[in-house]
Amino acid sequence: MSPRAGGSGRCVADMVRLVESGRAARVLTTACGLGVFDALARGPLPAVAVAERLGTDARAPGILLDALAGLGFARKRGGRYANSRVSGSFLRSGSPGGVLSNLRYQELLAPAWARLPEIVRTGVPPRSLRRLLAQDPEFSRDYILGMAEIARRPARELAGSLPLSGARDALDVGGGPGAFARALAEQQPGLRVTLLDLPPVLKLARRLLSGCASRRRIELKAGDYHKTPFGHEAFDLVLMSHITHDEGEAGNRRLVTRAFDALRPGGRLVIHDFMLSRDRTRPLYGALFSVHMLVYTRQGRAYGLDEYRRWMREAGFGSIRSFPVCAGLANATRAVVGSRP
Amino acid sequence: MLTSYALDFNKLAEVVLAYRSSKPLLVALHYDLFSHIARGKDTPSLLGRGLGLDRRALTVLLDALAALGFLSKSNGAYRNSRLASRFLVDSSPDYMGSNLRYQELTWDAWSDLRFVLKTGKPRRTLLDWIQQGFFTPDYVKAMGDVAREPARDLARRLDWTGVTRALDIGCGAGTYSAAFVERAPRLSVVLLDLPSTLKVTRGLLKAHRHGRRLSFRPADYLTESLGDGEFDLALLSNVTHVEDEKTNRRLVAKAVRALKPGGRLVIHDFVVNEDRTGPRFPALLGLHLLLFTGKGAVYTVKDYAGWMRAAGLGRVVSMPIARQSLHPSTAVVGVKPRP
Repeated sequence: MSPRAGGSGRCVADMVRLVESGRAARVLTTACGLGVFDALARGPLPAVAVAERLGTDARAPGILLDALAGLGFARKRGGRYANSRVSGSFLRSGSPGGVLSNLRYQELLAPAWARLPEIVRTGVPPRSLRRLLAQDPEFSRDYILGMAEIARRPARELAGSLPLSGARDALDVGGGPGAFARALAEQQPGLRVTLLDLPPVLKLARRLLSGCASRRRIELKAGDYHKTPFGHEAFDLVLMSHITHDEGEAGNRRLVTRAFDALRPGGRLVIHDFMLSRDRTRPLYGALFSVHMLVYTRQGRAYGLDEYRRWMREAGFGSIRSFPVCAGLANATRAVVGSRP
Repeated sequence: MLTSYALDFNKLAEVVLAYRSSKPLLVALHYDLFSHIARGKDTPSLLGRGLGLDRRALTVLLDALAALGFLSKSNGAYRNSRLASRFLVDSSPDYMGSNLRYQELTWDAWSDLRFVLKTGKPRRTLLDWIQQGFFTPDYVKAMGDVAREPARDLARRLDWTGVTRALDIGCGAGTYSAAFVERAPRLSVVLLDLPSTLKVTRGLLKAHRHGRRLSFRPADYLTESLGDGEFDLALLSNVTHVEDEKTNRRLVAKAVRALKPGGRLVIHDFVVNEDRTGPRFPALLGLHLLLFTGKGAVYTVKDYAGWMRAAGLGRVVSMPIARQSLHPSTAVVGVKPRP
């Protein structure tokens, strides 16, 4: 599928393919949810053996495996199935650089996506992110681990692009699994990073960060970034990565103002997220990400670069600039940086 | 240049992007947004008020549709793209809304894939849905929307010499019968399907210019007779994929009985290659059927030819249909021997 953004250039074949691709997605995330790729990791297996390992119906997995093979996520030879290169390296649990938890998280949100017609009518998601995190341990685990999986590369690239020399204290607001906190600490020797997030999230972060060389310069601070004070002129850098898309506009203005107060003069606020064009229809990934936010947040969406700049300006920030992060990836993002004068 | 990591990662990201791309289109058709936009309700406020939808949610949805190329946006108002005007506005002759609304109805079943894999059984079968009258008009029209091109191609490829009576078993929207009578001037066709389906079929074919050569026989092809020695040609188009092998063998035998000696049985359907992993569309259709019918499947040409020979048909051949289209299908034809 290659949905081209843009006026009237699409043909009906694109549209039909679009619907078909939706099915392909369901096939892949379901397979992740069931643990198909771990089952296949122990060598080529016939469908019945896969069914036995997964504890599923005997006939159904064969059909699923055939579809996975057709999509390039499995190989079939002589009635036996094995992982393909992509599924072998990305979709087994514990494989470095893998994205299994992320796709399991997508799978857990499938029932909510199914209710999109109702959500468009009422504007209210079936369960909000806050409720999911508070009530559903399976969701919380796959959500946080899934974010860790896809955060490593952008975190390293972002940390490498920031002017960190002389920075002593950084605050990572809602830093989740700690990928960004870790990348900052590794990038700048001597930098102390405070990671502020909810207690159950920090439990996972603690596990993920154990053994990391800069661990003792990362402080895990339990709190709720809506309420817990950030402090006054205590930091040289405040990072908000992938949290503003969960909030409404008023909430984000408040966060930007509080970050200003928390920074020392000369300190910087960095906002990292999916960012949209002025008319909110580009890039495609961001515009569709907004729909994803509709499905499980009450007010979130992807915002425009112009909105971030305005909020920062109004809070008093100067020398505001922005740059792309992981430009070659489908889920490319941007960072906006502003300085407290 | 993209790294190999980026190429592999993007292959996965594309799949995630896929469900986020398809669902907004289906939801838009659920509310027929493109038709309303064509009639001047072109802002989130106008649409929201007119249809009772949430303004914030609608704005996000419309922006996504613009990102996908179905709308263009300027100064907060939206306009249909050329593609949307042609296929997604209800007053257009090429309207595909029924099909996409049907896809929207099936989304729930697809969301349930994980459960179905555990149990092997759909929560509700296609027949349950049809009998409840839940989406019969949309379902039948949907099948008609996509059948036009293969129906024309199949009619073109069959030899109509001496063929005067045909039976269309499980005729659905009647698109194949309609194409057949267009092609064969002396042909009349009996369209056989469930009464609730035929109600929709009659409506769709009311104004057909060869309508008097079409007659309707309400029947359940599973339990009732299909006739005895009456027809020169019997068609099973996209019927066999909703049934299991045993039922299909029985159905083929019944169809053979309905044929005159020298008559032909035509099975037209999507087929998979011998290892059943491709082409992509029929391979995914196999799962779709698992979710809906609990018994249907996609079959190979070899399967069909085997059932036909077992039922006594000879000179079995297969031919590709609508080869240039996005979803090519196949016809398998067998001849009932003369005594």
